[in-house]
Amino acid sequence: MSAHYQDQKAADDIEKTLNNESQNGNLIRHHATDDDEEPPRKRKDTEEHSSVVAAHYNHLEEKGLRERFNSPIFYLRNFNNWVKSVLIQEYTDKIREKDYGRSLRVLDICCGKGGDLSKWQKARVEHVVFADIAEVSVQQCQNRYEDLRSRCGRLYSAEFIAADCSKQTLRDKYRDPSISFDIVSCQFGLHYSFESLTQARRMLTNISECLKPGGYFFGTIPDANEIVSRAKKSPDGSFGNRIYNIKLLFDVEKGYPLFGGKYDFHLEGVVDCPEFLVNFKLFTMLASDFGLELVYKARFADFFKDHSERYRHLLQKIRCFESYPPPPGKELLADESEYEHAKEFWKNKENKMERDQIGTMSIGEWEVATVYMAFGFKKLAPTSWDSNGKPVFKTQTKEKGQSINDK
Amino acid sequence: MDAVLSADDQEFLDRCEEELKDRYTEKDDDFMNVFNSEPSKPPVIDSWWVSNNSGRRNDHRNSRRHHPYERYSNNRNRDRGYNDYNRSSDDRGQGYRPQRNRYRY
Repeated sequence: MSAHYQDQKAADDIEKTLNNESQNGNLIRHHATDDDEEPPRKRKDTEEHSSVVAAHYNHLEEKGLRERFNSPIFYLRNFNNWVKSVLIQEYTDKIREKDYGRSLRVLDICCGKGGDLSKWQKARVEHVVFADIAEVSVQQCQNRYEDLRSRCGRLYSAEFIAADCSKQTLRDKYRDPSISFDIVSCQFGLHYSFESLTQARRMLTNISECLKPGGYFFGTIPDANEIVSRAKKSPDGSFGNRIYNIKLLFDVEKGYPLFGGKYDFHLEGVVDCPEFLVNFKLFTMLASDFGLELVYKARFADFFKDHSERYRHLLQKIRCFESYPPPPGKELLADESEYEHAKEFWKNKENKMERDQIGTMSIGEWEVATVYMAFGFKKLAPTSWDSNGKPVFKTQTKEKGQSINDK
Repeated sequence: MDAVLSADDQEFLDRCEEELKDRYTEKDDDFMNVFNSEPSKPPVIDSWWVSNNSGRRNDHRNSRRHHPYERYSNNRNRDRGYNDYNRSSDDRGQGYRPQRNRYRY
């Protein structure tokens, strides 16, 4: 490879990274999203979890773009961005179907550094409130917002709130406490609040209290069924591959706690942070108390199947998949053995043209992607008010099994 | 953690413990669906091509980050250069793309 070519490649790589980062706003906060974070400082057992999370995300380091591009989770990260983009598009579309031209107000809760800034721009929303526990992240989010605005002129209005959304009331902190949202998005963040019922309730209060009836709450979380399932299949309750590792931090012999089911999640260069299992039925039961009715849930593999046709252009645009076979002069991101599925497909493909290629992902990255699931809830109108002045929603059934039937 | 749970919270927890007592066991259908399914294989997309200049416009976070006040004029020039050099592959359709683009991923 000539020196010139290498330079060109480096420039291309960096530019590509820039494209992805800014246009697709892919510095997502959690998991296979932000990759410019260093591991958190050593934890003390006595330390409160939320302060650990905040410290983790406050403690950021800018790594070189080169390093970011060479990240072993490059495609995984882009894929996660695709999922978020699709969710945002789907739910803003849903609202506009009913009321075209409605100006949309959004709460981006657990916004991190603002990985979805430009996704909101593409969704043509009017106003976004960004909230996150980590002050430094929120500041970065604001800086990136200012950047974006100076670049594109017209941009939605925004406000930025650093607060522990599982402990504090957001409503007091809004510029206009009477604001109501059409959309609430919580990406890769809700599970941190499942440390306790009190925290999960506070989080859901923040999510739902200003959400309009007919509005949507959607997000992404690790799928507890998937995690427990993989853990049960491993001899010591911990599992993973070259890029991630998950270890349950409680004694499964004593059962799986509804709240505080703590596990360590390590993802190469991204997170190394304790999190909490979100039992999805529990989540829907809790959500129904807040007038949130489940309208969609899918593990990422199914989410992909549901949306890959309609959003194929976006898959290509933000490079969710790796070219196979690798173009001349390039190498696969991971070891050849992680592409057996692609090799097989390629072998059986007919009428191959000289420059044909297929798109895929290494098994290692896909194993991480499939830890997650996406969900969507619709906010119901309260049907009455109880003696404490709290709204009562009609799906708030206490009969066994009623409220937890999955759609 | 929860020092004191309200009566409502305790009632809710009791109800959940009862309803979800079989969680992650053979009696938990949702769980067993996941547990019994084969590990998902990564998707394969036929006729894959890679976009080269999507979002290239406006995209100069790097220079911006380090030179917040210089970026505007700089990037404007850079922008133009890129756009001229590398017009959108969308414009061109899929029939032809220069080799340089084709092999970037």
